[in-house]
Amino acid sequence: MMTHMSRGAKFALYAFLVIVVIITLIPLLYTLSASFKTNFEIAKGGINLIPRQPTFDNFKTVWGMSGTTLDTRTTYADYTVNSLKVSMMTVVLVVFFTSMSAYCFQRGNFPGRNLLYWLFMCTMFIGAGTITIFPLLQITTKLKINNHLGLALVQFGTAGASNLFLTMGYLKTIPKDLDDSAKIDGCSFFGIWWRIILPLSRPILATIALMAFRASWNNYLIPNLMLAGNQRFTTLVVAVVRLQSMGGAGASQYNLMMAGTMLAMLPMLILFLCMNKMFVEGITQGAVKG
Amino acid sequence: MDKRYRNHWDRKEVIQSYLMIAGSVLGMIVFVVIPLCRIMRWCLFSYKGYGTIRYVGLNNFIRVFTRSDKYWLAVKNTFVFAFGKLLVEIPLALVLAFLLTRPLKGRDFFRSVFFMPSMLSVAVIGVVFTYLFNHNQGVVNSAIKLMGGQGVKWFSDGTTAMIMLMIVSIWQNFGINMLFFMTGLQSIPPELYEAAAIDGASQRQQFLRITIPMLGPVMQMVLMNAILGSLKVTDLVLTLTNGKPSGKTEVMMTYIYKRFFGEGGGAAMDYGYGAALTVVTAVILTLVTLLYLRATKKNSEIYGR
Repeated sequence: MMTHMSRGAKFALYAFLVIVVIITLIPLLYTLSASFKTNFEIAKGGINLIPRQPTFDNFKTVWGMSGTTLDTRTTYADYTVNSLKVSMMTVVLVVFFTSMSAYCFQRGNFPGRNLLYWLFMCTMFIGAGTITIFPLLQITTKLKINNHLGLALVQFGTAGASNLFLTMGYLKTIPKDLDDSAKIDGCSFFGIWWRIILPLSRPILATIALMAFRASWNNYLIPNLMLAGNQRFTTLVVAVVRLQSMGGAGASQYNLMMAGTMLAMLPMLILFLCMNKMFVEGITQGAVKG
Repeated sequence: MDKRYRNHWDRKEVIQSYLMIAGSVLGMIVFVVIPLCRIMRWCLFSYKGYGTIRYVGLNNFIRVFTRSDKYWLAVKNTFVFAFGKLLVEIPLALVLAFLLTRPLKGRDFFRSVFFMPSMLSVAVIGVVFTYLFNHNQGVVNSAIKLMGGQGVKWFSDGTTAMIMLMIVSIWQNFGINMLFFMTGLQSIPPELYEAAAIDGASQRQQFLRITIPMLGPVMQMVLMNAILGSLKVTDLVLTLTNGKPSGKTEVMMTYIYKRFFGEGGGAAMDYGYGAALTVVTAVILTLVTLLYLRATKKNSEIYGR
């Protein structure tokens, strides 16, 4: 699609792209800016991006304060650790089990294989997350797993089948001869996965890990409801949303709110900047091939 | 799998397969299938969070279709939101995808920036924009006032609140759709354009006869995901407007959510009715999917794949 453009056309093109860049970045830049402003300065309004008296106090306050009156000892620092913990557990569960089941569906030969595969396909279209959240909560309560591991399990269970399709697509590119020669050498079905498939599918598993981390870190609805009974377990995104209703008396503390949102967004932004290519691949491949 | 090999199960392999797949299957059954079944059962009962659970047969459904103005308003809002925002989002994504598949300086930079907002938590984005759109202190109104306009009360009027939701949703999602379109465009074999150019086809002809038809299947998938995703919007509405003012931005999912978990004060909980609404909403989503697939069938039949 290489076309030769006149200078004017090229200028218009770049002008358009730059405008879209500005529109995309402005909300984030103002969030960053407000997180360094005093609440007094925010209350005055205005569109100055650079704070008049930049202060780091908002972050210090948020980091050391609690998001609820029910449990004043747990702070936003703890919530951050909670989020990290849950996200890591989710990643391990998703990567381990998805790799195994993708291998079974792609290479295995067992009764009920097509039926199970079809079942996974269906759950992807139903997208059960929001629609079944109430009975889901009843189940986790009954199983007494309203904790971090339980949340990770739920996030793994409701993650949808796109990870599975992504991994299966990748396994197709690994030559079957490798399996066969390992089998001749006496490797079991499980052994082939453990010794050959798992190490060889590392690139796709890294992508899946990243997607699972993102989904878990950003999740709001399920952690909010599941962990409501024990404030110690609250995750960062849930706690940040709670900043909205703090302050009382109509005077919202936007400075703290914005410092909190920065805290919740920064890890994702940093991850995104470092592993941009992997995100792009994970998102497009998962959707297009699924 | 080839039918001929069906009867030659390797017993060891079969057992190992079942054990290996057990984790995923169990996760799906416990956290997806069983909840779905339980929703079906709840439909037939009435329970408000206290007192006894009564069997009411299909009464919940009768209520959905006769005395549920608020729900149907939420349905209407959801469709207004979805089509309003997609009308801007999809063309914008498509145009950007066309521009960025050309050899252009800074292409990767533009792509990354546009795609960045979709990495962030929808709930947190809702919090961010409650500040930006705030009546007195928000940056948006400050900018409007600076240009001589009057501050808009974004949150207290149904129309402006809905527009605000659309703006935020477009802001967050245009990049991801752009990315999908780019993948579609890049998968068109360049030989097609070369051959067409040799045959003397103009740029416009190439675009109409090659690009558009070849993009068809990707387009179908992207639009489908975008429509369903918009109809299922939840977190953004909960954290940005929470249905205010007076239910004018309430959407299907948030309305159902509140039947189960209450509205702030804990009032209005109604499990059986909520379950019936869930089923009706699932049927609506399925109908939309089927209608959409039917409407776009011709397209994919002609161009294959």
